[in-house]
This record gives sequence, structure tokens and C-alpha cells, in this order.
Amino acid sequence: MSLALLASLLASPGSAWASHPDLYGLGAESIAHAGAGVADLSSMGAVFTNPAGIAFAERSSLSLGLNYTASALSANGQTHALPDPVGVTAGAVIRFGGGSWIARSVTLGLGAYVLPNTLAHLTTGYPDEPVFAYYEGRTERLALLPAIALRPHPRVSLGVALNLFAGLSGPASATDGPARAVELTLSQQVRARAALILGVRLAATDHWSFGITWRQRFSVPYATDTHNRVGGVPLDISVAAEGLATPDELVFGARWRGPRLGLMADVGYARWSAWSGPAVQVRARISGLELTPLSPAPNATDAFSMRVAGDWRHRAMTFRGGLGVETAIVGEQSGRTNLIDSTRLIVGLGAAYALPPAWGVRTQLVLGAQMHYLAPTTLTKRIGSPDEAARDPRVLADEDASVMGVQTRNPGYPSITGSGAVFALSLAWEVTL
Amino acid sequence: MKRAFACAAALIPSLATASPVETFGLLPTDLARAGAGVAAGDVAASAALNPAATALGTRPELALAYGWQHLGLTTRAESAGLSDVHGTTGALGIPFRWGPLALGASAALHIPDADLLRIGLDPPSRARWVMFDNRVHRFVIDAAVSIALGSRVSLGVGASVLVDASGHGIGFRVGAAPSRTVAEGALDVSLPFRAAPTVGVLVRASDRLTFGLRASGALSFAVALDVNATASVPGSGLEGDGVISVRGVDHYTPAELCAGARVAITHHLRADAEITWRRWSDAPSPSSDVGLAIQIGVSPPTLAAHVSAPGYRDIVVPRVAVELDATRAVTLRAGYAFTPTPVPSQTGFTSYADGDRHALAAGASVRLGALLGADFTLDAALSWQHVVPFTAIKRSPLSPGGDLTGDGEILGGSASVRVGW
Repeated sequence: MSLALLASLLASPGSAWASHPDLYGLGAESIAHAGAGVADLSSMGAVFTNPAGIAFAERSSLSLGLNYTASALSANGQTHALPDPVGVTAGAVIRFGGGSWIARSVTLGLGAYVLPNTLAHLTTGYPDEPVFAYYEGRTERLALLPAIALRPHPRVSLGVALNLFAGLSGPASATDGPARAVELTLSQQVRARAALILGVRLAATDHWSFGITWRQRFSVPYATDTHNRVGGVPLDISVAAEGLATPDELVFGARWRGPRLGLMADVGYARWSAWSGPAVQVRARISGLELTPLSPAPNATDAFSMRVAGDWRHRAMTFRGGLGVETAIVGEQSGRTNLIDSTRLIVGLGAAYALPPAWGVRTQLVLGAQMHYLAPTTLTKRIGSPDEAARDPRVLADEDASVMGVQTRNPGYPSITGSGAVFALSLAWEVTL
Repeated sequence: MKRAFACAAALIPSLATASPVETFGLLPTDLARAGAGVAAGDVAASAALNPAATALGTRPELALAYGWQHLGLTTRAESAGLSDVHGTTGALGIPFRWGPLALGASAALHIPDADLLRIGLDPPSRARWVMFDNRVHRFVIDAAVSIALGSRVSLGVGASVLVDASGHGIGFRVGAAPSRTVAEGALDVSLPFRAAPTVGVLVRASDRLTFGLRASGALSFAVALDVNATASVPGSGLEGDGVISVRGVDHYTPAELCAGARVAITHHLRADAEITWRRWSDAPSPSSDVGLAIQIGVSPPTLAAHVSAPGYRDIVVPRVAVELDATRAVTLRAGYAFTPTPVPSQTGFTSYADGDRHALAAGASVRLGALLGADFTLDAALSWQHVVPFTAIKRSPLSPGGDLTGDGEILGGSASVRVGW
């Protein structure tokens, strides 16, 4: 493992880079179960849900799927589309052949969510722009999750996966060169970042299983310090941003499985209160004048979730479904920020069809669909004097008290109402080797 | 808020060159052969050396390696201060059958210790080692699939992946509002994929003679970003809007064609010879194009910058290597390669440092035998690259920095664990 990755595992400050699996689950099976499966999943999707689950896979498998996400979110009548709606899910679970200790006890896994044309798309708007905080700017990146699981006992497994990505930082300067042209000097480094996903699974009986998963918050910043002199004017600007946030998460799960029917439930906690928000932090010095405003706080709140799901097998078909509810990740937005979120209802549906074996290889088609419904929520602004707004981030300033009425360009004044739904669809082809 | 001007530098890369795998090899086995391997039939390294190799393999192989290269290069008799190149490499090759078809899949991944990718810009007049400064500091992802046509011929296709940087860019608002200062930003940056295709052929003409051919496309990291700034700073005299448009290319790896052969001289002794043609003449401008649109009330005495193409030359790189099974468990390797520089003599305004290179390498493999149901092998290699001293006498005595000279030595090594099952 590279030294930089090892260091990032030991100290991972700030917020994080979310991905498509963080919102919907990895793979069509997980999507159909509304993201539940900490104590059940043993296919490729388990590398995200609970890496310990891959140790319970009976055979090696490969998976390749196509995903589509659509948004019906709107705020004050304006729709909020999600960019990059199409993605590809790929992964594998590798069991070693033979009767050796490795073959019995060690399983490798790999899961990936890939945008078809883009490694990542980082978007961070100005602090007062309305944003659906849970959905916008959180999924447009490559998710790469290698995993390994150990099964020291037939009923117990331990697993670990890495959530891999990168951040960007470095200095830059622009000065007038000898040929009167602007000469730019820049040194930017893209550094590897990693977060852990740890899981444990216990097959207490032939029917009952339990699992725990902890996902580490993932910090991938963009930071640049620039020192410039243009037209004889000194201008220094420092920029720092953290997008695609994912907090620390802890999920407990239980599952009962019979010959045909399986039922599962997950309970989760996500520590959003530690999130610093999506805004770009800018500090500037122009001709010696310091401009270092306070960054608006996001008023993020911890979130709790509960998901239940089930599947039923009949001949070559498996039918799946799930329900979930998750509380909002941000509280009131009475000041400059307009981060929109509310309690969401999650519904999943899906099915799998086992195709006739070809050349001794078993394959199946898997379909999963998931809907998130956001109950309407209204953010109402609190207007105060400029001095009051300077002291309290929950207050929005009247920018010109000499004019009657409230003068502000904040798009959330006097209030902003957001609601809607998000849909995720996945179709995958799985090969069992 | 009044409108004014502020700007910041944006991402602007300069010309880039080879990847670390192309310069230093993927695994100790090909490093010890001075990079030769197109006809070696290495299953684990197939994605990088020859995509066709895996389908003719007999078992899956996984290799994990760690390597370090020290860049002892000087410019104008002073140390160039270049960072050493070091990182972890993983390579996997899996031959398998699907019914009557003999297939193979392989992947290679190189992750540098420090930076996944280094993006650097320097003014065109500043001396820099264009093949070694930031351009060997990047991740490498190669993947390939192959199919065997009978028992002696296989074809493979693959790709090497990189990214660009584009999008709406970066926006700033800087100034003052009632009761507070304003310094806000917005980002819209995309990293779209770029991929260069690779095609390979492996032909086992006989039990003693194997031919290999590999062709790969050019790859680079292109940047197209704008910086939009709006500011009003009372008392500073700055008021207006500014747009800086930056376009450039970094981490350029040229298209190449490699042909080679492996001969089993005896049952224990093998020799490799190969030749690689690299199309450096297609390399784009080494510095970025900077476009300025600035309205700040007074005209800044600056111009938009544009630097012309570098005029690099196509090159041919010959490599030879030998491999000896000293015992049943130990294999020894050695190799030599000569890499001429594609950079023309820097007698003008630019100062791109690079020289011809002689490379010598040696290594060994020790087979540990069966362990936990798999066969383990330890590989190690050491390499030395000598940069032939060069001098470029500037046409203009006022050229920044004066005449360009350079030389140096690159020393390094790599070690790996290889597992076959």
C-alpha cells in the first residue's frame, strides 16, 4: 500500500467525497433492497454494504451493470437536475480454488461505480445558492472499493474495504514576465485519499445473521494558494473546497432467511453534524487589504435511518423489495445558506432472473429500482441588521437600510420550499464462476 | 456590490512526457530486462507489456511490487532538485476458458506514494527536465483482454487511462458588502476520462522462438479551464471583471510501436531483443495558452501568452536482455537499452532539458515453492540510467539563465512478490 494512503487512513480530517453507492447502494440487488443488507449481502455490493459479507459467497462472481438516476427535485418552482445521470457498476468476488487455508478463509472483492466519460465532476456553488444538500454534488465521481474478508470460523467473518479517491492542492503564482506576458507558475498535486469500511458478520444460526458496518468519513479537499501581481497590483487568493461529503456512518443489521424467503432490517447513524458544508472557502489579500470573511455554517444535523427489505425466490426468479426512512441532514436555514433537505422515504423494488447455464457458467440478469421521496420543507429567512448578521450566521442582513423594505439578493428570501423525488435504476448481468 | 477585478491563477500544465511505467518498467522482471518484454509472455504484466500474453498463459498470476528511482540530475552544474519516483504497483493476469475459447484478462495499476498526479507549470524560459520533473509522478491504469487463436498465437486489446480537466472553471466574488467582507468562490471542474488504446500480438513460432508486437496510442492530460472573477475593493483601485482562459496539455505520452523476439538459446538461457518507435513529433506545445479578458478601469500592461510547438523528434529505442535459469529456483536477468532524447537542442527561448540515456539493469527471481496452496516467487531488480551530458548554446546572449547544460544518473530498484495458483 502506498505510504500516502496509509497516512490518510490514520488521519482523515474534514468532510468527504460521497459517491453513488453512498446514496443508493452498490449494485442492482442493494438498490432493490432500498440499501439494506448489512447482514445479508454476499455479492459484489457487499464491499460497500458490509465487506465481511463477501466471505459468505459460495463461488466467485463477476458483475457488470448500467445505472441511471433521475431527479424530480424542485425548490420554489425551479427544478434541480442531477448531472451525470448514467453510470456503470462493476465488480467481482474472488474465492480461491482448492482446499487450502486461503481457499477456505480468504475472499477478495472489488466494487466500482464509474461515470462513463468522467472520473469526477466537482461542483460547488456560491454559499447562498439553493442546493439539495443530500443529493446535489455528491455522486459524480468514480468509486473504487477493493475489499478483503477473512472467515476464521464458519459462522464469523471480518471484512475491510477501502474507499479510494483523491484531493488536489498546491501553490500557484501569476506575474508579469520579461516579455510582458503573464507568466504562470503552478505546482498542483493530486494526492490519494482513502477511507475505511469495516464490517463484521455473524451467522448465529442457519437462518439468522447479524452484521455491523462502520464507514469512515472521507476527506478529499481542493486547496490552492495563489500569489499574483498583475498590472503592478499584488493579489493573493487562497481557495479551499470540500465537496461530495460523506460522514462517519455506523449501521447494524439483522437477517432471517428460509428456503425461499429472506427478511432483513438495518438501522443506521450518520454523523453529519461534523460536516463543514459545501461552500468554497476563499481568503484574499489585495494590496495589503485582508478579506477573510466567516464561512457560513451549514447547520448540519446527525441523521438516523431504518431500512427493511425482503426477497422471495421462485424457480429461476427472485423478487426483491425494501422500504426505508432517513432523517434530514441539515436543520433550519434562516441565514445566508439555502441547503435543502428533509426526512426521506426510500422505496426499492427489483428482481433477478437466472439464465440457463452456458458452457457450464451460470449467469443472471438483475434489475433494481429505488425511489427517494422528500417531504416538502420550507426554509424561512430571519432578517436583521448588518451588525446582527455579522455576529450570527442564522441572520440574513438587510443590505441597504436606507431603502424601504428588505434589500437582499439571497435567493432564499423570504422563504424557499423544496421537495420532490429522486429515482435510481440499475440493470446488471452477473456471472457465477 | 460594486464590480471590480480580481483574478487567480488556474490550472495550467506544461508539456508532459512518459509515464513512470514507460520510463522505469512495471515489475522487477521487466525492469531487470531494461524494459524489454513484448515477447516474454509475462502473464501478470500483460496489460502493460503485451495485451496478448494472458490468453496463452497456463495459470493466473498476481504480482505486488514496490519501486524507487533516485533522480540525480543536474542543470547548469546545479542539482535539478527533482523528486524521487517511488510507488506501489499491482498487476494481475488471469487466463481462463469459456467453452472452446481460451481467453485472458489482465490489469495493471501503479500508485505513486506521494501524488497520484502532479500538474506543473513553469514559464517557458525556465530550465526544467521535461521527461522527469512532474511527468513521471502519476498513476497508471492499464487493462486488457486477449484471445488465443490456437495454441501458438494470441491477440489482445487494452487501454491505458488518464483524465483531462475541464468544466466551467472557477468563479470568485471578492469585495465588500454591508457589515462584511466578501470572498466567495464556486467551482465547476470535470475530470473526463482519456484512454489510449493498446493492441498486442504474441506468436510462438516454435518452442524456442516467440515474436511479440505492441502498438499503443498517444495519451495526455489536457486542461481547459476559465477563471472568472468579479470584485469591488474600496480604496484599492480595483474594480471590474476578469476572465483568464487557460488551455494546455500535460503528461503527454506518445504513440508507440514495439516489436520484439525471445529466443531460447538453451533450455536454461533466453535472450530478448526489441525495438520501439515513439512518435514524439506529435507532441503539442509544452506551455499553456493563456487568454486574458480583463476590465479593471486601467489596462494592465500584460499580454496573452502563447508558446509554439516544441519540435520534438520521433525516436527509436533498442533493448536487449538475457535470462538464465541458474538453478531450479533461481533465475537471473540483465538488460540494456538506449533512449535517445526527442528534445531538439535548446538554443532559443525555451530551456527543456533532456539528454540521451543509456540504461543497464539486472535482477533475479527466487521461487519459494508452494505455500498456502499457491506458488510464491520473489523478484528484485536494480537499474542505472546514465544521461549523456549535453550543452545548448543560446542564440541570444540575453536569454534567461544563459546556455543550457545538463547530465546525471538515475539509480533505482524494485522488488515484488508474485503469486501463481
